[in-house]
Amino acid sequence: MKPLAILILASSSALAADPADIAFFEQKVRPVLVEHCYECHSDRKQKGGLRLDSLPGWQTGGDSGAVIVPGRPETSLLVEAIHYKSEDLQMPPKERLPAEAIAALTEWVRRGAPDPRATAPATGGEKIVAMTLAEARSHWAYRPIVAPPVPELPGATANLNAIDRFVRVRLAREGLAPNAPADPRTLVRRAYLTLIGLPPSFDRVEQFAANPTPAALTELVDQLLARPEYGQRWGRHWLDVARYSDTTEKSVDGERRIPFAHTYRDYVIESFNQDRPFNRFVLEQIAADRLPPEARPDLRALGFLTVGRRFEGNFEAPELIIDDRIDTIGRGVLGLTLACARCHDHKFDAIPTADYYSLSGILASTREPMDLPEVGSAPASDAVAKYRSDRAALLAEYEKHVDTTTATARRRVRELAPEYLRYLVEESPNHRTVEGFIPLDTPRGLLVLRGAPAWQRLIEASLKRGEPYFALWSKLIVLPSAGFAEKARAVIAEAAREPSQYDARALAAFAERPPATMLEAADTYGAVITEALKTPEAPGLSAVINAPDSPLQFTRDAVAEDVMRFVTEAQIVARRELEAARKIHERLTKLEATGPVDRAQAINVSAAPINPKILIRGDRGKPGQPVPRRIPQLLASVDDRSFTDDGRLEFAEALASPKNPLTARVIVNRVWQQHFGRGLVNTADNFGAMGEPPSHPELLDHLASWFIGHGWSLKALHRYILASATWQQSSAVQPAAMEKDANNLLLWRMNPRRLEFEALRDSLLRVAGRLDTRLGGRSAPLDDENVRRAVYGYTDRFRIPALLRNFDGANPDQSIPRRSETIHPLQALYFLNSPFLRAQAENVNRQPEIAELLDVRERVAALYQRILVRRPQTEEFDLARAYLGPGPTDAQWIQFAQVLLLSNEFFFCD
Amino acid sequence: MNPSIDLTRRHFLGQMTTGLTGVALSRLFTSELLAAPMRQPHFAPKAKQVLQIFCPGGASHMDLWDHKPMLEKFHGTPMPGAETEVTFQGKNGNLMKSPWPFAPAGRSGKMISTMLPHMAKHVDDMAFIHSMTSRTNTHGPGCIYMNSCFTREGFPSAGSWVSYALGSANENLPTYIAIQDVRGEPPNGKANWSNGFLSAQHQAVTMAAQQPLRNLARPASITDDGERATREFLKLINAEHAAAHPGNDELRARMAAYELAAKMQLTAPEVSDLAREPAHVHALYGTGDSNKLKAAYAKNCLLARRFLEQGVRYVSLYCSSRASAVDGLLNWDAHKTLKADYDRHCPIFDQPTAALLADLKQRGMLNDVLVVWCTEFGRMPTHQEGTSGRDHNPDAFTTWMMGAGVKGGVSFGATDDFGRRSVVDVATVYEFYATVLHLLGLDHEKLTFYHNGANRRLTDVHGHVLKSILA
Repeated sequence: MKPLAILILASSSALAADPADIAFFEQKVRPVLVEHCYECHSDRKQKGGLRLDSLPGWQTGGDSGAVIVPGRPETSLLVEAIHYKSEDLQMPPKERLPAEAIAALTEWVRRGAPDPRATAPATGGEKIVAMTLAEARSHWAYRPIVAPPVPELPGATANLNAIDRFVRVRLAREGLAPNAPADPRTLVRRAYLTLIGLPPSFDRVEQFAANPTPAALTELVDQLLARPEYGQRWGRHWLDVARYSDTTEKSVDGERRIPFAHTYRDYVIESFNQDRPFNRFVLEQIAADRLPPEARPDLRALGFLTVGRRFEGNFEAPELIIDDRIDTIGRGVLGLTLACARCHDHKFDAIPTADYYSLSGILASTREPMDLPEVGSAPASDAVAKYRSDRAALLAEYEKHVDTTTATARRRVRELAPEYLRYLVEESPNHRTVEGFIPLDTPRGLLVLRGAPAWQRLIEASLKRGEPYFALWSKLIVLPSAGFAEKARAVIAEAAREPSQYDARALAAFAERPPATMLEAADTYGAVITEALKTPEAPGLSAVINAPDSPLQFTRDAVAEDVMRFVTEAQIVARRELEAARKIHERLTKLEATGPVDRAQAINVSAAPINPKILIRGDRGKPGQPVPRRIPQLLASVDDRSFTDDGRLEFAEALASPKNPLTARVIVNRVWQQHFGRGLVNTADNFGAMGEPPSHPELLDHLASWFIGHGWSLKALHRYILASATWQQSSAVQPAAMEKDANNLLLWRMNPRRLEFEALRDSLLRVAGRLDTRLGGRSAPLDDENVRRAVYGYTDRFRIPALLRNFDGANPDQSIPRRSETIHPLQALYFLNSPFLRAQAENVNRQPEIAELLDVRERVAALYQRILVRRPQTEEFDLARAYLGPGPTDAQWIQFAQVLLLSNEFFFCD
Repeated sequence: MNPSIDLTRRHFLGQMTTGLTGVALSRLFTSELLAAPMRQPHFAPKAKQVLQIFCPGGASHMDLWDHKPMLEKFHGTPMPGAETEVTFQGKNGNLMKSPWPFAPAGRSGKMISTMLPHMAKHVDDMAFIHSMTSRTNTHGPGCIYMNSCFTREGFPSAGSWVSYALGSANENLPTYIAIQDVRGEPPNGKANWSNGFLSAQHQAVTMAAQQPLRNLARPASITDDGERATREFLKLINAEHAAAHPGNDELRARMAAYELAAKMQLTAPEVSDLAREPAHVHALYGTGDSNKLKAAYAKNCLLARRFLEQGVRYVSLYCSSRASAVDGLLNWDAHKTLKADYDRHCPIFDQPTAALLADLKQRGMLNDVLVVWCTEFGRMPTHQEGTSGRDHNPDAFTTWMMGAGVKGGVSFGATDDFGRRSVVDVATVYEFYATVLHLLGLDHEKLTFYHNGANRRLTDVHGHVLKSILA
């Protein structure tokens, strides 16, 4: 976009400037710029990336592109800004310029912005420049993934795998040594908590401790990976990335459930359990509906796109929904902050705003059907039969509503022809009589925003075909409003001399009543059209208006999309029709959200692909250059085609391609982060210029290529990492290493970690003997009686439960790279006083192996074994006895168990 | 409870205090860990705490604070140049004067609605900003815009930014408290006090006189001694564990959190216990009023003062809730029946709020506390067609500030003759919060948090300090 702008601008410059223009600049313009603009737009500061202290400065433009279009004040952002026309762009920001200054700058632009300041003063401040595409090619994350050679490690033993060699060579270089292996009991607990998010039983720990061989560890890891609880644990990690929620964020009373969000959650959990290759997992989540049937795509995967926010009540909802999806895919899959490029070229990465809109064209070329595809098999029952018939009735009602609405919309846009023509007049630069927003309500009813453009297209198409019907209109509307009556009379008189070129009825009407203003002309034309439409079958004007390809012939598809959109702008249909559609939709959602049948929260491709345009500063009201549907240029080496179809499958394939430098790097890093508490790249969702570079770049590339080479298998990756001495080392502190590398970037020890909310709650329920690990189904609130795994808890975006908020649950408003880890007194209050904790402490004591024990020492030991999966030490027995006294009551045992449940030992994993 | 057990517990506690082998407990429990660590402002602050009073629903500027004589003069006539203006709910009718007269108040003679007789007593201490504008005319986005400077969720509220910037001044209480109205949450609920991308400790803790902190009370079956013994026992086993796991600060942080919780357990009920206030204070606020909604709000006002007194950094106090099925019933959203609606809302708001301000003043607390009053947008000077209410108006509304660092008895900016648009010194939330942060000793351009590739600010990339309202 920028080179183009410069090309246009280069044609006007100081080179051929008139001396009078230069004088004008020096007298009227330069002083204004110096006094009012240089403070923020010169060598000192470049707010908005813009400089106004030289010709090249403003020719380059700012973040929003060109600010001056020489000769065209009406399209120059600078002129718009100083006129304070838009709320978003007002310059100078503090105070409007004096009227004469505004006039001078406007006139200057009108004269072609003659500017003798050919060279720019040197920039004093720092201007951050985004990476160019060429530079991006050498950025560590954008380079092709090539497996680096595994380094030699002198004296390495056979138990060290390639991971260890990369880590230890680096440690040795820094003069550090890795920790010794963790003790077997710690390892078992670590493996359990990491892989399935639940503590092991005491017996399992002891079984391993009796024979802690590498083979036994391999067996243990295999067992854990084969358990369904693995998918529940690791699926949750992905749900953080996918900003999973069971509802939209709709903030008014009403239906906000996403009725089949849970089928996406189940798809994710199943994918982990079945070890679906990660590239396939990505492919399905972006484009399952675009895969051929023989590929047996799982449509539930599309929830990745649809479980996001809806921005209801927001004018820009359609754009924001796409933005949310771009952001989730960008940061989630690619580690790229693509969404930054919505309003301007990316400040740091090689992501021009054009790329953003190219991608938005792909993602916007979709529809969300009312009739979602059924998945799984519902049993034949009366309830199911009733559900099916109720549902069919609602869908039919909806379709009927769309039919009626289509007919109404087509009828109304014709009936209101005079009003739409008046609207076009109001919109024209020559004849505007109102400032700002042109009223949509007229004495004959409300206009819809799509109506006037439809009429405009109809008129233009007719003129292009050389038809006579709107020839007079086209001649009249270009007349200036000053002296309109007189000039119009001349036009009409001239037209009368060549009647074959004009519509006879229009000629007659104007001859009879010459218009004083263009608005009057619109009334006359409107009357002519209304009259013509009384005989719809007649040839001529009414045939043009009613032709099958007439822009007024709103398609049913367009209306169907429109009523689903639920915004009141750019509409074909009136608000009450939207309301009616919304009511039906809500009834359907209620039925679906409680119905006995599961469906995929799917999307499909829209009837015609969207041809995207750049929106200046992300503003839907300011469309700029059209751009192709295309994958961001950063990934051009994977696929640089412009797509003729919607392009979503191609985009998904590019994400899932082994040639994609990012996807594999990003996911192996996420897995590493879960295993070590910190990624090799600390910014898991930002591998761009502002992300942190990897601590072990070769190891990252090694893992990524190893992962691709092993069929994108996450289970294989877990086995590989868990087999390393690096993962198996203890978390003990070496004072010297602590001194040198307190954050353990070099991995001289395992990082101790705390259990996040889900693992904590599940673990509490597990030791209390209450945990229900069943797979799948609808979500239910995590109230005190809910004993399912927390991944099945109902997440309400509008009302996030205090529990989740206080325990750093993933915020479902956006893709979460890593949970925040807060330690807060409210958490402590929950542990100390909540009925839930107390109930679990009671439940632990009700376990038969414990309840039956009367001897204090035996029972203390049993509680330690049950909760902390170890035997108490002598001093701990003493302490317990001191606390419990000689004949502890049930209440005391409950308190005792609760203390163990809320101890740090239970909460942390070494 | 069995006396012998009690004895044992005392014995246990005795052992505790004589020290435990190997672990220097005292070192573990210094008060270095606060709810949010206290930090230094950028420069010397005028204010240390903020009380935000928020009236959701779009409280009408022309009927409360912004006197428009021309509206009275031209009542019942079309608004010049805008006969067919369509706003949020549709077409607008003629200009409509406020149902209540305005009267001059204070030494400054500020004109204020006679529906706010108590608030009128404070005008000499207040700085009105009459030229506020919003970016949206929808309640949900409007409320969070007023609170976070963004119309979308996901950004930290101003209180969270302040918590992040300055931390807690009382380790026994939350740093940021949002007091909800008894009628319910404001539009967009939690997003109004969300920590956004800041860490969870910076979110507001929500409570109200009607809804105390969760999990504050220990189970009834547990005695004081029992509880203390349990806490000491927990401290001991955690201390042992920490001794065996040096180098993990989180262990200590979590231990300290239990200590804090224990203090909060003592402090919070005490602070929330309005019964500790003398009768004349209750009378001042109107906590015993026969109007249950007023009494409930009055209690929340009193609660707010008690929290501020204890050093809580940022208190948000809501007066009314989000919309019900009937516009204007539960909040200031008077679309159809302005008079009836504000006859209901003004008395709930007026006396208790004024009492709170008077109380803060007479205790000298306004030396530290900055009070700000907000709503999400204003209302139209016309009536909504076919009704006697007013539609939304994002182009003009009033907010005010008073207290620490604020000049009293001044009015900044102005709307046009009818209150349709802000026209003089047009202000936005960015100016509003640039000023709030300035008073707290913070430069709004320097208070940043790196998130998703950008150094985020409360004021986005806009705003300047409204210097003329500074004392």
